[in-house]
Parts: sequence; C-alpha cells; structure tokens
Amino acid sequence: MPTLALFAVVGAAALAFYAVNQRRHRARVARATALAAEHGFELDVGPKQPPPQKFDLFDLGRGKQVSFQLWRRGEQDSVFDYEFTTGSGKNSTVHRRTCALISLPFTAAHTKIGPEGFWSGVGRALGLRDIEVESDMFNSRYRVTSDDERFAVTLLDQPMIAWLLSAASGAGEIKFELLGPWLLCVADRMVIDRQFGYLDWAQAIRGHMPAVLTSLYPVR
Amino acid sequence: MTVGAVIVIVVTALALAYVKSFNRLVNDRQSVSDSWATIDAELARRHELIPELVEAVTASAAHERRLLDELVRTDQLAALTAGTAAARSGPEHDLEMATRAVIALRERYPALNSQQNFLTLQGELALTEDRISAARRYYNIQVSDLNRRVQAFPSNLVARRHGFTEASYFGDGECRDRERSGH
Repeated sequence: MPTLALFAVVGAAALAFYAVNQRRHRARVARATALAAEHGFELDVGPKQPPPQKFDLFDLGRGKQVSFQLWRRGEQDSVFDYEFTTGSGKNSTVHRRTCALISLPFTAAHTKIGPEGFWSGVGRALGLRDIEVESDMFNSRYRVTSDDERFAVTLLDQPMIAWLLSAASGAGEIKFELLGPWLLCVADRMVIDRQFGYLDWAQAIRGHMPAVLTSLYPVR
Repeated sequence: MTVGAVIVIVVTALALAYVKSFNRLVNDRQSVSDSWATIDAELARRHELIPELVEAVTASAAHERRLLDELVRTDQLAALTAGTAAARSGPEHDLEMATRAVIALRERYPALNSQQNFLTLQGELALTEDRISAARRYYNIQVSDLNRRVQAFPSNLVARRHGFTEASYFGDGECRDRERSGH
C-alpha cells in the first residue's frame, strides 16, 4: 500500500511538472507569436533539426534541436534557440544557446572567433599560438582559428578589430563561426524579446567587415 | 636503463627538435615569400592603372600638370625600385600618396565625376589599395613570425647555422614596433 501511494505521489508530481512546462511553453509561444507579428517577423516554433550548414556547433553532442526561429519575410538571415546535450547519465549537460545565422557577401574559409578561454590563454602564454593579428589587445582577448590564415587576417583589419574590442559592439561574449557564405553568432540563451535586436545587431556586423573580402573571396 | 640508452634517447629527442625547428623556419620563410608574391602582384596592378589614370585626368584637369608629373615620376621610381620590401616601402608609399592627390582632384574638377573611365579607374584603384593593404597585413604577420623564430632561443641556433635571416616589413612600422616591444 505505501508503495502504491509513493507511485501515486511521484506520478502526480511528474504530471504537475509536465503541466507547468507545457503551460510555460504555451505562454512562450504566445509571446513569441505576438512579438513576431509586432516586428513583422516570421516564426517557426519547431522543434526541428539544425540548419544544413556544417558549422562545428551543429556537430557537437546529441539531441540537437532548433526552436523559435525568427526571420524577416523574404530574408535568409534568422535567429533561433538551439540546444544540444553532451555527456551521459548524471554528467549530461544540456547546452542552450541563441544563434543568429547571417548570410555573407563573400565565401568565408572556416573560421572561428571567440573570447580567449582559460586554457587557450595558458597555451598562448606558453607560446602555443593560434592566428594572431596586429593588435596585442585583440590577441589577448580573442582566440582565432581558421582553415585559411590569410582569410582570417584579411577579415580582421583595423576597423573590424576596433569594433570587436569596443565595449559598444557588445561582441565580448559572443562566439563567431564563419563558413562559406554564412556567419553564425552564438550567444547564451536569451529571452525572446531580445532576439529581434540580436538579429539586427548580427546583421550589422556585415557592415564592419572589410569590403575587400567580396573581391578576394567572391561568392561561388 | 643504462646510461647509453638515456644518451640515445636524449640525442634522438634533440635531433627531432632540431629537424622540427629547421622545418618551421623553412615553412615560415616560404610563407613570407608567398605572401610577398601576392603584394607584388597587387603593386604591379596599381602600376598598370596609373598611366590610364593620368590619361583620364589630363582630359578634364590639364592645368594640374604638376600633380600629374609628380604621379608619373613616383610611379616610375616605384616601378624601378627592386629588392627587399623595406626598399620598396618608401617609393610605393609615395606613389599611394600621389595617387590619392590626383584622385582628390575630382573635388576641384566636377567634370571628372561625370567621366565614366575616371570613375571606373577610381573604383579599381580603391579596390587595389584595399587588396594591397590586406596583403601587406598578412605579409607583415608572416615576417613577424619568421623574425621571432630567427631571434628566439633555441631556434636562433638553427637559423644561424642554416643562414635564415630576418625579413623586412613592408609599409607601416606597426609590426616593427610590436616586435621591439617584445610581443
């Protein structure tokens, strides 16, 4: 009898948890739908598979799914929530991100730009070098890897470096991944209200990139 | 483990490190050479455009003979200057300045703005300058890497033995300043 009661309690708790989650999800969908309509965006609540671009982020972990994808009618650029799971059992972690996927007017070599982490900083101090540019401050704050160093150096010209370093850019905690005619900006999960501004911000990055890239690395 | 075995391991490790250091120096020197070839091609492109620019401007701003003569003179001087990046930096910089001065004539001679070949040349020169600038940044970073290896211990021992020398920077002195400051 006590076992039955225990099962009943656990079952009820699970049902309550499910109901609360469903309610929260419905509220989020309603909020996203209203905001999308207000800003003139299209919305695909999902969940669905990640985009077909071969970004490293989409290779990590399992249980990958895209949800709440927002885009302007007639445009390829979009912003979406992305989550995936790494580890297993008690050590499994669900990673939640908000990504902006932006089209580029050139063909980028696979390049990643992100904040310098603890271990990459240690490696740098020991003389293990990734791609470095003309700015020491940039080199100490960002880690750059690329299949084509020449492309990375061309991308990171003085104005682009200055923009990335400026507090006003808001780029400090964002990770960038470029591949072909696409740029993926990866941030920690953000509330739906902020995602519209995030997409605008990410689209504006194109204006900070050197125009010469379109002539040196034309879209194929 | 015998002393002999330890000596063999140490000598092998040193030999491997030596070969690795040598190969890195070779790679760095090759990168410098390749990246210089890119700059060279872009500079040649600029030299090709200058006579066309002079011709286009002469049609609408013939009174600016002094500026045009200066452009032709710096172009010829830069084209004749051979040798290292350091030797070419000055003349090519002078040519860039002279070109800008001639392009700026469009502010005083509005007729230039309606001249299609001038506008096309202006666009091509701007693009070429951007490409030179991008190639220069990459080249200077390669030079910085090579020079660091030529100077730093223990790769400097390998460099000295095999005749690897420091390369010259091209253009601005920013990289030189970085290197002097020890970064």
